[in-house]
Amino acid sequence: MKRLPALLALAPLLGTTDLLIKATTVGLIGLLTLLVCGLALAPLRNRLHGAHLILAALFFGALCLGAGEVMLQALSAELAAALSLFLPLLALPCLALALQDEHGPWAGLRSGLALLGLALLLGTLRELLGHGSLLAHANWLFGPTFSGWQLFSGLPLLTQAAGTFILLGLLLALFRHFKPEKA
Amino acid sequence: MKQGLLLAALALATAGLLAALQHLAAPGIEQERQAASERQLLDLLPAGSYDNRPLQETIALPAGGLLGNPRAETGYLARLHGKPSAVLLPVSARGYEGPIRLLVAISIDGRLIASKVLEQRETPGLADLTAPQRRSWLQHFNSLTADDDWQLKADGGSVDHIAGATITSRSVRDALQAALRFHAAELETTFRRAGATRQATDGGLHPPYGVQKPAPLEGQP
Repeated sequence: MKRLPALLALAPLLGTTDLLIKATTVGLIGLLTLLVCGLALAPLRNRLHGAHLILAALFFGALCLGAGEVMLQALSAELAAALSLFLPLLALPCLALALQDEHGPWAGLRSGLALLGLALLLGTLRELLGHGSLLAHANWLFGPTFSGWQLFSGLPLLTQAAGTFILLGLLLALFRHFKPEKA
Repeated sequence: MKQGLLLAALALATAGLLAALQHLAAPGIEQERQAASERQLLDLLPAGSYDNRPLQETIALPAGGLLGNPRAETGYLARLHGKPSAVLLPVSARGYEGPIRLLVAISIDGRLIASKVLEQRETPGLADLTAPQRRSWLQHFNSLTADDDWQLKADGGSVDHIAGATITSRSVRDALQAALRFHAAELETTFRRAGATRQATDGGLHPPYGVQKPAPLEGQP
């Protein structure tokens, strides 16, 4: 239950982490959105309850994501086009933020950092193993002089969503192996 | 009731903020969108091989010329330090299912830099030129000149063809070759029209200009 916001953000992560540049952008936008959402919801928790609080969270999430998308469009049309399908889905962890019992203004920061970390990890692994490159298409954001590195030809399965599930399973197994039985 | 009012105020405030931001960013977004569509057309040219805005320097290609385009098209001229460095030519090939439209980048000394498919209707799974596994096929033609061996492997040459799609392969090959021929033949007139001097364009590198008849295509059965 505690990790619900990050878990609900899995769908946009699956869709966008095939390139590190896309994963980084989604992670940063998600971090900012969750941070603002958490900060804005904290003073409202006394006045709004239940469905009302969720609706307020939806407003804040939509505001942040809308602003992020508008700015992304002005920065790089290619990146915005590649992400446009998945950015609105980042509103889901905002809703989960309203639902969770953990209060305090910095609740959003923790979920946001977890989201960014997972996005960076998945983005790096999937691009490195799937495309065999690192920061390809970074010229979308950093201008034509920055072109990334093509290291080797990768395993195309990992660039697809199905490959992400395999990778996630492996990561989870690795995590469980090194951190056994907390409870 | 109080909760409802608060929510309504929130909705108004967030919607207003977003609308204002959208309004402020609109010119920037439009500019970026145009720049992106230019980049998409120009991605055949390596970055740094041109410093003008090629889409502003058009080359008129009337219908029925040496290029064989059925209707009037527009080519683009890239310059580096004021001198023409490459041309972008749209060519069409007769595919198996319909016309294939390609964009070809040719360096000023008559070498094919790169080409890409703009529009096609070839059989999916067999000759679909935009499929990920087919996209690299066009790269076989990169850096060929008009004098190189353009024979497909199916005809005993050295250029790979798409297995099971020899007609498409031949047709695309012919179109690219025609573009190179057109470039060699029309170089002088084209660049005079675009305002460059002959000295700046050829530098003594080129075969005789003014060839108006297309040479018979190689590798035809």
